[in-house]
Amino acid sequence: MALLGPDAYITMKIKTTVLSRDSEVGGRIEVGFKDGKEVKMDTSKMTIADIVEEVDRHSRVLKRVDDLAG
Amino acid sequence: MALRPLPFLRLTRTYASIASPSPSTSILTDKPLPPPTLPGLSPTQPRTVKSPYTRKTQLHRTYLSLLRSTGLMIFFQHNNLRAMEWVALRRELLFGLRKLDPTSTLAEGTRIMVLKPALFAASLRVAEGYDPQHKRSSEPGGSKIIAKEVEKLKETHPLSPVLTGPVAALSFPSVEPAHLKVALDILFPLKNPKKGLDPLAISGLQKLVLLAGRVDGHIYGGRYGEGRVMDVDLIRVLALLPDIDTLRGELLAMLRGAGGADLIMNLGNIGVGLTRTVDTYRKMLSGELDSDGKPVETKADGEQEK
Repeated sequence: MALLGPDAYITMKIKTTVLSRDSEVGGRIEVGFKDGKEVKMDTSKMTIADIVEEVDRHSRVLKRVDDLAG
Repeated sequence: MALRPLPFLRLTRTYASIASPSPSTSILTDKPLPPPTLPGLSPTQPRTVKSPYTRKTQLHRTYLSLLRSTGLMIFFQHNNLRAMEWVALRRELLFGLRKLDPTSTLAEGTRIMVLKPALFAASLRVAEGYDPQHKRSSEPGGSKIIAKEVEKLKETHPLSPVLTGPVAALSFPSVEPAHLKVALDILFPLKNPKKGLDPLAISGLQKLVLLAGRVDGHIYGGRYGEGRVMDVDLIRVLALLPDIDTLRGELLAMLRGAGGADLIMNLGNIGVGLTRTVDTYRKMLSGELDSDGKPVETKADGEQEK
């Protein structure tokens, strides 16, 4: 969350839930991209670098499509 | 006794050398000044292990005194807030608390403090691992003896997973559920932000994530360092409780209702009996009564002794 810029909350819809102390579920991230693709990740075994890499993989594709169109 | 004037002399000499530096020293100021030589312990300059000039030492002290003096702390994550958003949030919090109770100073004592998590965790270990066993220790908080003693808390303390990344603390000087509720409504609303807030504050509070809380038991009976960690749900429950006097009243009413009236009377009797005994003894000592507990007959004697 700290990697997002200060204006990210205006351009994106972000929902956070803090799990309780005795919760059985590990961390979980769901990202919905603007073309409708959804990515789900179980973050209990991942580092922050892994998560960023996963998310960037699809956003790079989207960016390339945007660049070619524009 | 012969040693007594020595610290005083040393102190004056230090001041004199600072007041009139020789020209050679004023040129050679590449190195930072050495820490002042302290004659023994001084109340204004607490004992320290590391140099008091570093920021880390000061922060460690600040956090430790905060932990030792704070009844209730709420920890939350802050994600890239702008300075104006912090200002707006702090102002809204202050005004909200003032509106609740204009006479108390609790609003001014409630503070949002951005923490350095690793340093704060170190201070927390001192406050929770060392303080309860060593109530009147003069060991400085940053000492290696303490650090070794509380090392096991690094893994086991329930707050340690919380204290990573950008963490800030909201500290209340005492546990007042009504004030906590107002603060939670402003900073961490469950659904929509409170109406009438500054738009800057609203954009700021979207970036806050409530993480955990800590209640310290030190207020009742000087038992500091026995903090309890609460998760988000417990904090919300605490905010819904009535204040301490109401709870005491409820307990009393419940005891009365359950036939505990005798218990209350007996508990009260101890105090009353003790007061009477002590009062009689005082009167005996001051000569109002003789040793058998009878009033003294001659008034002149009593006046002389007074």
